[in-house]
Amino acid sequence: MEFQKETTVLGRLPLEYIRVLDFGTAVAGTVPGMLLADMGAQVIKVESRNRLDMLRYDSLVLRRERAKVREDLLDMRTHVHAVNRNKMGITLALNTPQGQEIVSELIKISDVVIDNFGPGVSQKLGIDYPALCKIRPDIIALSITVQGYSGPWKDTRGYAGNMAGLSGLATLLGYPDESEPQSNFGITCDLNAGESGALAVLLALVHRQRTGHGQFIDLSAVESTIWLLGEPLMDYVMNKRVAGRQGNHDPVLAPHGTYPCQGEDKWVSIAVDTEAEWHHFCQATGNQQWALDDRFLDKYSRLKHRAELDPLIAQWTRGHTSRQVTELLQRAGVAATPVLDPAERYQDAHFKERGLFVRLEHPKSGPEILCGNPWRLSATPPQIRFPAPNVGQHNEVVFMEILGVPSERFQDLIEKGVI
Amino acid sequence: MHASNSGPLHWLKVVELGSMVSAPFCAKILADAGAEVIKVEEPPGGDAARGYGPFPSDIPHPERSGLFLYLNTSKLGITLNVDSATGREILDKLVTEADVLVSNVEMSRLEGWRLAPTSLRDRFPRLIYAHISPLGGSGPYKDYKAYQINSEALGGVVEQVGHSGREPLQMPFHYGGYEAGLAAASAILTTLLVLGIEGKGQVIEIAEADVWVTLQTGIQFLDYQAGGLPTRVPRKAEQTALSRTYMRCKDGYMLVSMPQLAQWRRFWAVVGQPEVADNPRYQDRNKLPQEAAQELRSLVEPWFMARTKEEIFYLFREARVPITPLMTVADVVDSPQERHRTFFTEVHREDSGPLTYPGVPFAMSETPVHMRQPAPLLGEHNAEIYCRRLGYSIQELATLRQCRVI
Repeated sequence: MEFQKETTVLGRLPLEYIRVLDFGTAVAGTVPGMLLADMGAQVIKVESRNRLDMLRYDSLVLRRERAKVREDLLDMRTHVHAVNRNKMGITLALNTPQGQEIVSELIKISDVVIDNFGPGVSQKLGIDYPALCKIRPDIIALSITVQGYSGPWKDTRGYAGNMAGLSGLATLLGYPDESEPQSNFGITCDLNAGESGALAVLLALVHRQRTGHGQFIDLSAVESTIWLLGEPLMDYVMNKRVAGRQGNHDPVLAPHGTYPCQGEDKWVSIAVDTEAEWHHFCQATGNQQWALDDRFLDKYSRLKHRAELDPLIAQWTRGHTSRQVTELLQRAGVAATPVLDPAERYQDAHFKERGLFVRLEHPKSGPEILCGNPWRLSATPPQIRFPAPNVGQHNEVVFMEILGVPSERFQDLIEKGVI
Repeated sequence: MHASNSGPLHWLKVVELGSMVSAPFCAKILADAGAEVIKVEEPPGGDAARGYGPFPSDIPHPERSGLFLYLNTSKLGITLNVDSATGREILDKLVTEADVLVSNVEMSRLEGWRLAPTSLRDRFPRLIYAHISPLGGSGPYKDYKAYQINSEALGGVVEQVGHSGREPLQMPFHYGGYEAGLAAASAILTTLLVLGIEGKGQVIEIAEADVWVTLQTGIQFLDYQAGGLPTRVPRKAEQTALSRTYMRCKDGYMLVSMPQLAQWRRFWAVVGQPEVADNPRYQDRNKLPQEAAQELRSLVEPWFMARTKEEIFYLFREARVPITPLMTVADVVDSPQERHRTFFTEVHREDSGPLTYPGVPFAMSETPVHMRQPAPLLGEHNAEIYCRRLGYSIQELATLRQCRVI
């Protein structure tokens, strides 16, 4: 049954009355602001011209041929576009007296301040929580650091790969029969930090709505992954057992894994739980003999004999495409899905219908496809409204229109290199 | 500015109809934040996580499952057979008093119980109803069967774990369920803010596969449009150029990564070979020929092998270079940093003895979020909820049990 949109969609975004000053950089620091912006918050990304967000140098360039001058490349980076959509962008030099003055004016009209500077830096810049409180007592401040604001390891520097190693996650991923650690560095840890940060800010906003009080949130990016690893942590706590690489093993599902299909590097995922599913699986694949095989008679035997069962299944799946396997098995009530690459995900009818991809036009790099936001609210859904800001793109809008700075002062600040 | 112990959601009432990971994790976050969460478990066995483990000494016991204990802290627990007509009546009474209902029960069962979100919302216009499922309630796959690995295969994570040349891998230990629960908790908080202003509840739908596609892999989607990033990670990617690679050391591995030039210079100073930082042969780090990359590794391999993770980590923290240890779950639980942050809490409960639980990854200065009480025993709060709140007598409670309503 479909979730029907509310008949009276409020036509508004849930956080449209919230303003966020976003000093975050890289991925972990920018995702909280992104999620809030997706839900309608007015998020102002603040960058210093001398120290732009590293993603403006670090990530790939979209449609390089469209760059007119070298500086354009700063605005045409993939990760910048992905995590800064729906945000306005300003430039501000905080290490000047005029910069300090104007940032105070911005703080006064903001509800939330987010940073991932690292311990001690926001204090030097005069925008740590005690300083923020003096300007606006009900401010909500989120500081994201790799390991937390204090502690023996607070000076840890690290990116997503480091976080995967520090959280214990990296030791759980990979093939059990390989000895080298898996050198795969997806961005899951960055996203976990960003999503946990957004959660914490939302908790603070709920509290402030009822009491008028703000607060300081100290978030550890590494802990944002640790708290998702319940089973192996509890197993160590209970039994001193240290979990290692899991491969595609599952303790209760058999068969369970990915199997090769027709085509280059094409796979299908299959998972079987109950005996009924197993029988339907054997039937649907035309392998009734497996259901009678001593080695596979029940789940325990199938788990024990995985090494013999998996190659037999692979032999069968190799004769079909991943879509064929999926449709055949799903019709028989067995869990199977194709392993999709990015192009396939984009073209997939299911994700299309669910509206997960959004086309936007970026002023410099042109058309691009962004992934949407998965929080489906019936009356106030998120919206991907506009692309990531170019460096200082909204200086006029923010300083002159929103803050009300007269144009002489604005020009003066530009000349002095403050903006 | 004052600190209170009651949590930011101390006024909130939640009913959870969930099992295993996604809905229970979502409700746990709300419960640890102070909400009153009534977890409804179906008799006789309750939440399937009670049978899942891990168990102390590997002896199964429904009150000692590590997964259940972790995911259900701070909640009240009741048993209720929602298949029975009386059971549904009772659930209605509970939902009447609640602000939020969160569930990961299959939609077909919910429809059979007249608990499909839209029909429930007609009766309770202020209710926030969050439903979590692997693939969602719309689209060609809405009736597909999917376990974790199947949502991940669609969502893209499976192509990122493991490497080319062999089978793609899952994210183990119900990782996707946690991601879905986390998304649901944030979505619920957003709707609470709307409720506070407009007085209107909403229906929230969270699909695990959506979370993978949009957030967990979606952030990299533009990289494919820019023609970068191979679909599968090649084996031993970047293992040679001292860039995002693991180096063996005396007692384990260190992850070596130093994208910035200043970090590169400080690295070579720490390992006692500052001249290498200026050597033109190694300047263009992104385009090193194979032999040059291999040379760099040989230059530092002995230095790493002579030192422990702790020693190396200390040196590079001081030098502000992102070189960090590969930690096992044991290292994480025993970590001095986490001890300082009191991230793990020890809890004593009758049936399970002292256990150390992970907490939440953030410290809030005014409204701390933390475990308030251990996970409930099966039906532990039946008397409190049914008798004290709903007005049943103890005898009626016994009858309800005999009639398999609770």
